[in-house]
Amino acid sequence: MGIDRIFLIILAGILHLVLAGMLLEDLSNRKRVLGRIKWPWAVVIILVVFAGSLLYLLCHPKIFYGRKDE
Amino acid sequence: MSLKGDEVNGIRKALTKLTRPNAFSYYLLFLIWAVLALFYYFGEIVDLAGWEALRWEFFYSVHDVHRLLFLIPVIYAAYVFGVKASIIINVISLMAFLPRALFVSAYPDALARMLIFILVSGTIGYLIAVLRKTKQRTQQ
Repeated sequence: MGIDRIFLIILAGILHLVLAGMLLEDLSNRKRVLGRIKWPWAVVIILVVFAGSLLYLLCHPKIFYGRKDE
Repeated sequence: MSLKGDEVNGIRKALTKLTRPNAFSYYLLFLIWAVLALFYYFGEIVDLAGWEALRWEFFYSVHDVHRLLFLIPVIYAAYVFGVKASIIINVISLMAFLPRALFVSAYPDALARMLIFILVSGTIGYLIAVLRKTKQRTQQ
């Protein structure tokens, strides 16, 4: 495995942590989530790399606009 | 051919709807991003599906031009939703670029080219979001 690939894998990990961090912060501040229970969303965001974050974004459009308790 | 008053009003209304933060513009943003992500990997999709008629040289060349198209959702997100949206779109775009750089690209410096693009698009997104916010403040 070349150094480039190692860098890319590290980069993917960092990106996942950045995205997951932003979404978990939103999740913790949000009063209502799809499905009403927050912890499954946290598990999905942390464990399902990229797809989980994308799913959370698609299910909570008001992350970009509107109040967090909406 | 000139546009009638109703048509001008219709276009103006549509543009207003597109540039306001709402569910429509949010899902439009993700639709644009998804279409571009599909386009980015279209060469591989063509290979997998065996669509010989669509095996164009363009889909297998260096993907700098294809990557450049991702500026559209970044700029749109920054203009309509602000800095946070721009950062998130940049991050998910970078995550979409990674598999190509890791497994597909046969060209040198895939990582460097990708990082330079993200640096530029991140800066553009940030500047546009700041500009939009300043404009909104002066209008109030």
